[in-house]
Amino acid sequence: MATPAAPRTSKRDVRTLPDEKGDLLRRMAAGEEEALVALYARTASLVHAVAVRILGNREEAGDVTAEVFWRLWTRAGSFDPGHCSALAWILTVARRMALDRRRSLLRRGSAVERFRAELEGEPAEGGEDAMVSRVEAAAVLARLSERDRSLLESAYFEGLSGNDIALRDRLPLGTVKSRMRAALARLRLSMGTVKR
Amino acid sequence: MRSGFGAFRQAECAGLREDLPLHGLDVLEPAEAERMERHLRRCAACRAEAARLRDLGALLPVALEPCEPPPDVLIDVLRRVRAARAPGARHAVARWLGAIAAALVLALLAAPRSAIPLIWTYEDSPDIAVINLFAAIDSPLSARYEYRTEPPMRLDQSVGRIYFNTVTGRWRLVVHGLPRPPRGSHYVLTTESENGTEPLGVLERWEWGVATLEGNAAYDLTKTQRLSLELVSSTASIRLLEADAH
Repeated sequence: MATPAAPRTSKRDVRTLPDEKGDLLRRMAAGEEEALVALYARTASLVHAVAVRILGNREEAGDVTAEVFWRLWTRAGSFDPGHCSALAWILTVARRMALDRRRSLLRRGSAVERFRAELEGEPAEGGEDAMVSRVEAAAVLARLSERDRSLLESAYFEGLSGNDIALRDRLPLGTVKSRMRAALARLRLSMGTVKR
Repeated sequence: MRSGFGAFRQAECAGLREDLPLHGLDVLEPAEAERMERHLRRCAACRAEAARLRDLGALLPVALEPCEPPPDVLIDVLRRVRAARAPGARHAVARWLGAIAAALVLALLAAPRSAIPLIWTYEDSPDIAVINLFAAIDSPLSARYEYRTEPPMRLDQSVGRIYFNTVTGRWRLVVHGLPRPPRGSHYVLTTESENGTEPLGVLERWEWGVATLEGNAAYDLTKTQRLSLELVSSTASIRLLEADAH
């Protein structure tokens, strides 16, 4: 009987980023504060970067970052390593919460310009692992065309669905979906190239 | 021959696989996403592919320039964590500190018991109380010194003080000679009182080798039984200074 192939892992792919196996999340689920502090130290700069990118406002992003870690603390037990890597899960939580906040702010009509505010201050460094992986991730993304990259970023950071993008770009939904699929396929291909 | 259910599963996979990348990006419409989730719950092959795609999608944020959140964020989270805990919050802190990989502890033993805890002296103005956090080596007081960090940091000349305005309740912690925290680390001032342990803030201002932290009257410092300064790093927390009420 054939055993299912193990997920491909590489020393340099996204799974090697902080808490690759979810050990810290498991310890957080057991109530260990030091695991929360360690996870924060390793991922806060990335979580905050996502929040800043989506909200474009450092003050709001700080609130969201705190909410994200509070949610990670209370929901750490629901992390399923079979679903995705710990980092992908953490970033998904961060992205969804930041998008929720963004929608809420937009509903309140609190000045769209705030989302476009220039980032202030100097960017802080992440851990060494994160920095290496960030360079690689940037290299992977740099291999995409501007259109592909913009498409993926619209979906990820602006929370636009296929329908939203189709309406915005005046394209048939099928075209948007096929472009997204193709962009992701090229992203995967590019990742393989960069890792070689 | 493939069973009826197997054929159904195969057809379902074929129908949904196209949308798997979009699910990985979280951009499906709610009804589509729900249908996909139902399928993933019963299809291991698609679940594995979805996991790979979700990791792929994580490349987008990973490529962002890291951006450090304001220092109070961690404190806010820890406050909520501790507030949500049962009265045994102290034990949680003890566990946290129990995991310390390296420690520098200055035990200050000389202060006589008084109505006001900690080591209080009055300087400059009768309204300003000063809590002295003594240097390790030079201190005439009993000191325990354990120090293992990489790279090594010299802390033996460190002197800290808290200036506490007894009228307004505002206070200011000043620490001399404390090196800047390594990347990804920060100094956290924590107090213990009858009500439990509470982080007061993060040292964030550095000028000419002097770090300061200012606080307001939200926390009544006179109820403090123990005060500690910890270096919270990426892998551990290090207790740097500790002052007990005697």
